Amino acid sequence: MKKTKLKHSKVRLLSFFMFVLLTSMSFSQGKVTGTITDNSGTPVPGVNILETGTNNGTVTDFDGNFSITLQKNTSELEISFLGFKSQQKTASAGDTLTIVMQEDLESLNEVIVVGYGTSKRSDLTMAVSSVSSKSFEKQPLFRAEDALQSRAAGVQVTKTSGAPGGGIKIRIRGTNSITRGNNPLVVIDGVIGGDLSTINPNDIKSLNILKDASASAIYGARGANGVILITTKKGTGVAKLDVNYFTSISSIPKRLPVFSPQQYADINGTPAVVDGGTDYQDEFFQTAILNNLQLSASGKEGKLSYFLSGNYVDQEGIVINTDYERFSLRANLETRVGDNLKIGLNIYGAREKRHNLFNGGSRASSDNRGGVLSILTYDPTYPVRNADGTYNQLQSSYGSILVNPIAVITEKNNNNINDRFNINLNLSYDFSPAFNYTLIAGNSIGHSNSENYALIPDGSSVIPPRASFSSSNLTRYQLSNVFSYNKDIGNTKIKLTGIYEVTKSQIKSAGGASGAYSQDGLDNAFYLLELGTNHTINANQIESTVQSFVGRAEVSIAQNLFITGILRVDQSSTFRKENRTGYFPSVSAAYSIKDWLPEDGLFNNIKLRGGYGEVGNDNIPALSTYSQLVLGTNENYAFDGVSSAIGLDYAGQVDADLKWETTKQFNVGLDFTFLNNKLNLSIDWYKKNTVDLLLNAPLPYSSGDPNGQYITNIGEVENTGIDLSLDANIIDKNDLYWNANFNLSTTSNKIISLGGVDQILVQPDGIRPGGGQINTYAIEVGKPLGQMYGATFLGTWKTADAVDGEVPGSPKYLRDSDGENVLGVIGNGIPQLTWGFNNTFSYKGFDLNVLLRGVHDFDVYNVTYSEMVGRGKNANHVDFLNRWTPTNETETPSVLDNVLSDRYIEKGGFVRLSNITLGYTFKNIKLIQSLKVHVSGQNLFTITDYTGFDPEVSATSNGTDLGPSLDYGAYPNPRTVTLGVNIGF
Amino acid sequence: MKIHKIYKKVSSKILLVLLVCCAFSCAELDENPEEVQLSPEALSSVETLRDIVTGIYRNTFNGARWSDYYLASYGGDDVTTHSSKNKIGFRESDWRSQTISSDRTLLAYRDSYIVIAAANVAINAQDDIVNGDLDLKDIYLGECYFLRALSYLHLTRTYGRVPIVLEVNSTEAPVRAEFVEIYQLIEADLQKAESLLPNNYPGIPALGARPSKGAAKAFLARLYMHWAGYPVKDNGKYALAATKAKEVIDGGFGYELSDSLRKMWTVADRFNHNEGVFTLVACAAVCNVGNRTTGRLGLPSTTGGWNETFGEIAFYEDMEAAAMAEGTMVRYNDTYISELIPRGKKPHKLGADWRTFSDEAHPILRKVAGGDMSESVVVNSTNTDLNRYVLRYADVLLTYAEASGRSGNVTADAWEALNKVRRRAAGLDSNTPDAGIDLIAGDLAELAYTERKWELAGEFERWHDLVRMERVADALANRSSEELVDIANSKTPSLDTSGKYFYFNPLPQVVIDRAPQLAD
Repeated sequence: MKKTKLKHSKVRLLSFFMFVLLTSMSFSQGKVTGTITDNSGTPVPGVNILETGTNNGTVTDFDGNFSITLQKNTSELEISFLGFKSQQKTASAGDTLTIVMQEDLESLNEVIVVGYGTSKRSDLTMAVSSVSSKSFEKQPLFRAEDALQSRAAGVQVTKTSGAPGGGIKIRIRGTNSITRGNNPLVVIDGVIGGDLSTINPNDIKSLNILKDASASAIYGARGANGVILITTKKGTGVAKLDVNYFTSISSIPKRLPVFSPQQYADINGTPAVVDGGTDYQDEFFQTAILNNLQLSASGKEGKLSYFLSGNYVDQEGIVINTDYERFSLRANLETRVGDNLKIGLNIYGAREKRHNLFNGGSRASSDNRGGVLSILTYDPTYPVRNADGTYNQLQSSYGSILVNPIAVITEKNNNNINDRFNINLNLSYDFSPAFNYTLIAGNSIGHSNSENYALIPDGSSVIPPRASFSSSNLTRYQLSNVFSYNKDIGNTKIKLTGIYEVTKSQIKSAGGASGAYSQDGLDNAFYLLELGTNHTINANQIESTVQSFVGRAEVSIAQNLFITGILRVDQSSTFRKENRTGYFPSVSAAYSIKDWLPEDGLFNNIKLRGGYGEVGNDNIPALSTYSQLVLGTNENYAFDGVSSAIGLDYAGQVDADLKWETTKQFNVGLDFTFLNNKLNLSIDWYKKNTVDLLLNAPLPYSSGDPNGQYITNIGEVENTGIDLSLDANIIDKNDLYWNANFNLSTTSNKIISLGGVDQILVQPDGIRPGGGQINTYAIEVGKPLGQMYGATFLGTWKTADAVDGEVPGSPKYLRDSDGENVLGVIGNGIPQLTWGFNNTFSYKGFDLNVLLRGVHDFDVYNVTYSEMVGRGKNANHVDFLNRWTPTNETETPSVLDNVLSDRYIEKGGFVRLSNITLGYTFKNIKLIQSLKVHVSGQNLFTITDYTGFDPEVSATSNGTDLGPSLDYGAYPNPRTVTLGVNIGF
Repeated sequence: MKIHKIYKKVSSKILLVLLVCCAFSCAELDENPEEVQLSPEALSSVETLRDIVTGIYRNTFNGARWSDYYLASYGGDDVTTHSSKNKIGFRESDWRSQTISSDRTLLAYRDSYIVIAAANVAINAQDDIVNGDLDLKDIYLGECYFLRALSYLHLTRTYGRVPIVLEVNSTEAPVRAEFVEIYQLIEADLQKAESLLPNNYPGIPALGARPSKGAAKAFLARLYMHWAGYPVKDNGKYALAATKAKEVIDGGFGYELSDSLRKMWTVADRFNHNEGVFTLVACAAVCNVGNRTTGRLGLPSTTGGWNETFGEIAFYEDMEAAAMAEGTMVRYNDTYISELIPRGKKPHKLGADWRTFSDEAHPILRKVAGGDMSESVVVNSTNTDLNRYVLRYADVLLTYAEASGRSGNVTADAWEALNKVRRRAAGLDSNTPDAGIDLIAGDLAELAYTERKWELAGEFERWHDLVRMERVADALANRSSEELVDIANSKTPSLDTSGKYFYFNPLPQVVIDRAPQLAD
């Protein structure tokens, strides 16, 4: 470290000397001038220009300009700058050169954050994917998850909802846990437990994803689902101010073919159509506008480097009366005190506000039968409103029979305000060149407020207005003490790291709700709860603490063989004393055959990696091991019909002996670098076994357990797969540049054991499309997760079948010998193959980014369609026009029935143009350093056989994969067109 | 030596930081559950017991407030439902054509055991309850036994042989108990309740809102009627039924017939009578925990109704004929709605004659749609404040009459019990003998049995009367030609008494999935 610093100052001194020398000789002959910019046309200050074979050199000034007087008439200039590729240019006296520096995408010397330290890409022994800001900064985006999508092999990012601020599902190498969370751990600047949705992607310098257990073992009990390490930007160089703004227009990607109101009335026998009826898709969806403004200032003044940024996003939903807003501010400061002490302070504050977005922002209705599902099945035969603006009729006995979804969403005011304030102190002290102590002290304060007013509440009956207000406070701190020691013995390098860490979090919450107000005409009564006659209140505190000890040893021998060993010991308050301590070891090694390869051969380097590690999942609620009595309004009873007496209830069975769920993973990988370092190829194979699953084991109904299940450690899941990543600089000429990154992942998931039972049937998230007794998904031993469950549809009974007592036109299902429908697995909702193809082209001032992604080998349970073609409701889909008739015996049943079957299973595979951005950078503009305008489109087209809105979305939550790809009124991803401008000062 | 040197270099700041770190080295890792929740060990005081009992009431009502809870009773000849829509589950019970995959069969099972589990928590902890007002402890414990017995009675009347669970957090795989074992358990629980409960429950808004000793006796009488009938057919139990019913009548518990049947199904008068022996009280307006078996769901879709529970046509016609012949038109008119239904702006108010209804015309039951059509909070809602009468005094009187007849102990008191109910049906004072309506001769058991048919119509009791007397097939065979068949599936009710699920609902597939040994 010290050495490099010294080198830098030498260079600086030298450059300065040269500069002075050269300017004093400026009237000499052989002068060459020029400007040096990066790909985007931004001038690059501080670039070294050296006349080869001489000591004659210079550096570019603030505006990227340079001037050098050659010692020879014609000479080679060597142009170099950290992070860019060195170039050779032939120059003659009097030339004016314009030189575009190409960013150095050769990743061999890239620094990879691996948790409590960094490693050079070339020294890595583990499976780590890295996404640098370079690969996504050309795409206008305002969510960090978008930066991750399709850019790293083995990382699957699924936008399961198109709602603004909606939930995004991230899986790293498949699904480990059946009923516990599968979301990866997010670590931001060394602080565990970050939230991707609150982060401003413009602040991100790099995202590193620890995929295999030998890497994630450093995070022990919380690392089982993989770890996403985010490093935010730091200031470098001269002061720089950037202003980026973009606006976009989003709309629903397609409309579903429903009946006209007259068709609906004719087919379903409703009363006559009133005033032309209603087109509910028109009423419910809108064209939505987004505005995103980002400002950042960065630079280095003396010893202090700074990066300051602000961001404001306002995103309307494509559903009326829905909105998402986010403000954020960041200050990253770092300074040196003396030679040995470095202190950094990162401060980040963000406010998110979600308006009328429910379930973590994933849908626009508080009732999972409402919203999108309800508009597609609602009786369209009468107008929503009367001429005077009042609602015509809030409910119909036809169709969805729910309260009118337009009235519900229009008269709703639900606001979720989420404030996050993170302070992160990073202190690093070099006791000696070999021995370093780093302290990471992170403190996160969160406050969230939820205020909800429903003038016309969702549901199946019209009930009085209802309001609620709740508030919760999160305090979390982390204290990590990291000691590292480096030692070189001959050509063997040893690095030892020891860590002691404590993280503690506490959430305090309280809330109240009331309804049936004593006064009429109250607006937004969440501040007037006192006027409600029906009160509910709650208060709670959730605390958890984890104490950890970690040791890591990294050894490299002759720059060929690399070995890493990790042991993390975690103690978590979530478990009882006997089960509290978990040991998570890992070992990995890499061997590079660089030295054996011919100097000018095809391959520049080949590296073989292998590792094994164990990681945990402690993702269960606090106090899970303690039985209790339930308290709350749902236990109360009013003996007099008006005033509730307080009630208590049995809370169900608990397992006091709970312990970690453990994932054991093998990983083998190969890295190839070839064609003059132009091409990098990485292939990894892995096998993960998750044992002692923290499973929600079902209990017999006769247990009377109010949850019907309890958490216990049983079962095992296996995941195997291949991650492939190819990065190529296909064209790299002066004006034309093309970089392509292709990544592909396969996963194959299998349930090895469920602790005695063969099958657990589930209704994920309490979504009960077939009623309370119809299970929609199955967890089955020997099969993968995400199995869809139902009957097998065999078309319709024909007239000829009437002799056997069957009703012609009614649906025909596979039956057993008792005449019951055979229920079984009919599809799977987890994609087995995903790929991403990211291209960046630049030609002169133009640049083009094209991101294509493919998701394949999965099914979608199109329950939305089932309700539209008449499952338990009146039909409202044009397919029903082709129903069975005595004269046209089609396979579309002519009668309503309640059976969920493979009739509604569709192939979900799709290829999507995720992003296309065309930018142009203007040069030589006064007062500003750079100006770029760009136009882009997101989701412009999707190639799929799926007939619903969007094969990517699901109505189920993202934490587990119990019910993936369930289209039950899922919120489609919009099609978006964006216009933007980036200005640098 | 080296370390010494290093330490010298360390600034005081670093030392401070290290000290801070050391301060955290003894992180507190033990959870403190008492801080935020009540542990079951808290059940050592009468106050906690009182609150758990309240919770058990809520659990009971959580099930009993839904039509699914009474699914078996749709098999009765008094009630029916719509052919299709989401009512297929009710229809399959109506026609006794259920299978293990039939819809709506789970709720009564699941919710009854939730009541039982909570009651087990309290009953099994009784020896630990040593703090507080111990006089009240008996009453609350009596209610636990009482409500557990009611849940088991509902379970066995609905599903037949069901598992007996008396332990909390039991890991034993449930198995189906014999009928007699279940009856003995219910009998034992009700006898304990009988001994623990007071003659008059203090501080309740109306008789029946909480049980008295008399309520326990009334349910014992109901239990014995079943014990004496199908499937166990232990005829000796009729005498016990008569005895227990007589104890209710003579016990001074305060029960008496209301002067009007109709007003019992109104919100305004829900507490203005003493007929409820045990009543579940709805709290729709204030607590949003209403009776969801009533109101708009008893109306047809043309009035924005839910098509859930209607009257059957043959039953309606038979009752009309009987009422005209016997002079009980008041009760007939208190049972069916004949006035305009004041609902819906578009289409307009529905006509008085149900035969003119366009969508599957059926008579409308007042006990479902509401006793008073001008009570808009009932007529316009599916979540009402109407009481759910689990057992009312008229039932006790008729049980006494029928049980006396069947046990061969016909007395003047038994005739009087029958006649009290008939007098009110005729619009007379129930306590004043009236030769025009009173019966003094004939087959008392059958007369009382038929009286129950009319008196309890639409209360989901008729089905159980049909089962215990094995008269389901006869009742289902008596169908009006106007009665709608399921046009879509052209099915008609099953008359096959040997059918697997003819008398009892199947345990649903989801129950079997979690406990395969319960399969038939």
